[in-house]
Amino acid sequence: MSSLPSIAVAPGVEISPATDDPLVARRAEVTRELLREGIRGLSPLERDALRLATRERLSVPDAAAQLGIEPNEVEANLRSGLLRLRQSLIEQLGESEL
Amino acid sequence: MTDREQATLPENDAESDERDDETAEQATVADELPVENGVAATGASAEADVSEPAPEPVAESESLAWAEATGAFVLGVLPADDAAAAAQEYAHSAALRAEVATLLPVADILLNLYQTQPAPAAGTAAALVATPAERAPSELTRRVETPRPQPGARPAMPTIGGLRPSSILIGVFALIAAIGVLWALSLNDRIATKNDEITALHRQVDQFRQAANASAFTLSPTSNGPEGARGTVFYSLADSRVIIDVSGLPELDQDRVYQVWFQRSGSNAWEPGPTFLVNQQGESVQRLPGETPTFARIAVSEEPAPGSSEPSGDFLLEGVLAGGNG
Repeated sequence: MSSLPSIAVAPGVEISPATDDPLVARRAEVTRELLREGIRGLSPLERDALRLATRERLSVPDAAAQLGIEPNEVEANLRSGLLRLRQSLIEQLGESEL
Repeated sequence: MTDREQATLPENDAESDERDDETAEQATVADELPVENGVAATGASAEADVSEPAPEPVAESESLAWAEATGAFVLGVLPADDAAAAAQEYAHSAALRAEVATLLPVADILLNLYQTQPAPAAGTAAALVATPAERAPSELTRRVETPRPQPGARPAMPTIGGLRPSSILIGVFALIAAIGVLWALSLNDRIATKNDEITALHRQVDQFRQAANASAFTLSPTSNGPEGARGTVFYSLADSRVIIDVSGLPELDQDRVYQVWFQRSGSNAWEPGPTFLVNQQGESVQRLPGETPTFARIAVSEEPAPGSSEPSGDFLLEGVLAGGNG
């Protein structure tokens, strides 16, 4: 398990494990599995906004320029995307656990 | 609540008698966070002085100005000025503080997965609410310094009696972040537990292959399917679990997913099943409904995300299930 392959968590979104620590890699792998299920439920705009913010690390104005929408739309989609991902994690892990 | 807190929280302003029910409720929620208040008081002791003028209550329209920006805030992608203004507003709203605390762990997990920079844990979250001058030079700072276009959509934030984003804000958000970190750590533990299930899912493919009481149904590529693509549905009689193992499917463009379809014996209609994506190797393992073997046929198509109610694309894989044999 020293070299885990990249995993596509959404079309165009891949995650490469950055550690060889088996425990960390194992947890990251599970987290990717959970997030992949959650990301599937997002709207295309939510996915795009989150991808630009988390993977590309673009600021809101830069992400808005790239997506051709207003900055407040980027913010709204980042918020709704995170809320829906959280809900997805809750559903998978059990609300009582959270 | 201390005098310092009363002097710095708008809910306790001298004009508090005029606050509406919602504001009163927020104050109640804030009062129910004893640890947070404790940290806020500690943080305030460094800079905030009781002699400083209390901040003016934020007007209703202005209080909503940054409500939609909580996601961008916790991800650290707001421009510096906006982040400072948002931090001020969040400090005045128990509801928004609660939402920030809710979103932080998810943002933390996402950013950690990408490993592009340290997650916005306690220290980073505190930096988010600090003024640009207080920020340590970092990747986080670099990416939020882009000036924001001003289409006029955002009302200007009020001057709050000369009170700058002080250490009380840092204290509040450091605590929120600390709660987030604790939540994330707790989540990690649960994820580790959940891992047993996920790992078992993958192992089950091999177990199914070897199990004497398991049935397997093969999906073959159609004329429209990729050459070399294949799929296998495994059904465990022991626990009625069904898994589909596919390979040889190309990664999809954005906004596209693969979707499983079922057809009952004697029917031409296809019923929608779960959607899935494949990894870089073109592989995926997914659970299917327990009733899967009762269907006559199974197919996989490419559909627009998040899936379709009826097939809109060509079938790429097709196979016969147990329901088609009886």
